Amino acid sequence: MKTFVFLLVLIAATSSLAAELTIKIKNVKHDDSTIYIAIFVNEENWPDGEPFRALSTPAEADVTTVNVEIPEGTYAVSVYQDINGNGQMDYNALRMPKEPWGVSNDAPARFGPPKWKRMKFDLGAEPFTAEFSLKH
Amino acid sequence: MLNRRDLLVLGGAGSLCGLMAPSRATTSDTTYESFHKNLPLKPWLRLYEGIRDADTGLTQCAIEGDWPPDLVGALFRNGPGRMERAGRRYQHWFDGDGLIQKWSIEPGAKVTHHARLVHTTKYLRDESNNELSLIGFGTAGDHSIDITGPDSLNVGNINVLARDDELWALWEGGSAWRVEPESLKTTGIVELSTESAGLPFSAHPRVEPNGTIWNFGYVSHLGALVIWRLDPGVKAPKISIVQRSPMTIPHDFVVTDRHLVIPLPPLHYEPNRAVEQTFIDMHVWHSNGSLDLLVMDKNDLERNFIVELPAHWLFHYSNAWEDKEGVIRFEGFRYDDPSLMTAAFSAVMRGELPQSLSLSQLVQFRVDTRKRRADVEVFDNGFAACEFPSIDQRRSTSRHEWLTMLVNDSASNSALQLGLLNGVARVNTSTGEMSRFTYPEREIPEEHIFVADPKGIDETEGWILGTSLDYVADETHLNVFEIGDTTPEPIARATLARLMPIGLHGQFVAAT
Repeated sequence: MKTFVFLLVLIAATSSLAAELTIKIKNVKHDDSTIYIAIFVNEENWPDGEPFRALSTPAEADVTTVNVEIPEGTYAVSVYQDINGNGQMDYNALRMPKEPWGVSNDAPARFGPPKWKRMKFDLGAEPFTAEFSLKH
Repeated sequence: MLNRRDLLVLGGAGSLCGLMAPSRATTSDTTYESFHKNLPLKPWLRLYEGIRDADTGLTQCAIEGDWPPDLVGALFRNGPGRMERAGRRYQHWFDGDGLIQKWSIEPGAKVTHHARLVHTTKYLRDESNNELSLIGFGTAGDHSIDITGPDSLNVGNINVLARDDELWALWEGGSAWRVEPESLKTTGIVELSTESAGLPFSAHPRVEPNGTIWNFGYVSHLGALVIWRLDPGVKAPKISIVQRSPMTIPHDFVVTDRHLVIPLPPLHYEPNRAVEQTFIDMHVWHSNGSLDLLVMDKNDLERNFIVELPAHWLFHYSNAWEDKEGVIRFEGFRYDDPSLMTAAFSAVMRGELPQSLSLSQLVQFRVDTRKRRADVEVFDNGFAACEFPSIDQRRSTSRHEWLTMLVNDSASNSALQLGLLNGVARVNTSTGEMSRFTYPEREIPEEHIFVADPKGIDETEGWILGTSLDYVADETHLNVFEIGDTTPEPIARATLARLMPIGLHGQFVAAT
């Protein structure tokens, strides 16, 4: 059974109209941990800056879905699954992620972080689903 | 959240595979077509044809000669086994999916053979999709594969390591794979700790007599050497990172009781992101550069220095030992350049003869750790090529006298035209005393190793054990030589009535 987490987001006076974004995370192999989600709103903040929104949800195998309401705009999403519950992403000695992670559009990470142009998507007035898979 | 540094590292898989290259449409596979056009004309190409069955099952072998009663145990060997699928073929011999072969030797001279492909992530995906992902060490053209790290491309095809009751299948750029020694079933990737998970564990670990295992791995685009130390009875390894730029392809290293020495030939990682390149094509040979010997204190890796020698390419080294004056000695097989790896092993996959001969010399390195100097002495043994060193492993990190190796005794020998060897030799590295055996022309030897007599203590007490491939008779042999025989020939051999793919390295595990 899928769990839907609805987040009510306060929209600042300067923001545009609210739109509904569904984040659909596939290839979730463990359902006893938490998935942390970051929504980025512009290229300048990716990947080192603060995300526009940061949230978490209990992992549901095989697909975890989260709905949020945020202003219309251009976004990118990155997530990781905290398998061991220590509240942080685990890495090996060369800082390679050792817990499942994913980004919107399944943008590839090659010699650097996934490119913004490969991750980004437009959220308009119509509800939109950003669907991607965890990499293990 | 992931940050830039993490994702830069995540891209480490790219350093092994040329992932920045654009996808190439593969409507036809020219490597496959060229190989199969040549195959009926060149019987020796069957060595590189590869197998199609994932598991050969257990086969009883015929025995000739007098098998030594005390030579009981199992020889595990690894090598590129599956080369093609669904009309596609790997473009480099080193890219074949790993094939573990087990020669079981039971009391009463009963020998059985069993071979099974290493079921890596890549193999299982290709098997599921009935395709061959054209990506790897020397293969490019297909980037549909979902790469999350080096192990997405790890074919586990170079060597094996027996540790406690486990068998590991080793690649060069990624993790070891755990294989059940009895069934040869792959049970997963070796992850000993979070810190070490996913780090490259290369194919020539060194084992000290007390069981301590040393190894290294390299991450080219980060200019990082990973140093592993696994102590007996301790699960989590000690990991150290040493920066080195430009990175090269170090295939092997040596260990003494005080130092590690990693030879770094001048085959520099210099990718050209503007054009399609395989991982090996991302490297440039600098013939005017230097062969750098990176010498590190085992107990404090930050205490290290480099000694420069004239440029040469080397794959393998024998064993290092260090005298009271701090002078390290070890043997290696040096080539003028790495064309055997960069060109010849691609040519044979197309069914072509290598463009030039790859000649190699047995040399001894002497590294003075106090004066920080090194020199090289060439053994004048008359061989056109030498490779695959083996010593008595009980002498590991201490002084050895005897070295077993494959050789080619003539530059006009047909095997050398194929980049292969035709005999086995045993040489005393102090006196130069030597014995050797040459195989018939149609029979190609693979690595031969020294196996100690369990009743003996000296490195002259034991046997030489090695396989050979008769591509005319369609047979694979396991040969036994007695040490000390001045005119050696196999005293016994087991015959498998099937030609197996030519492989790389192995380890003998004596029965207990």
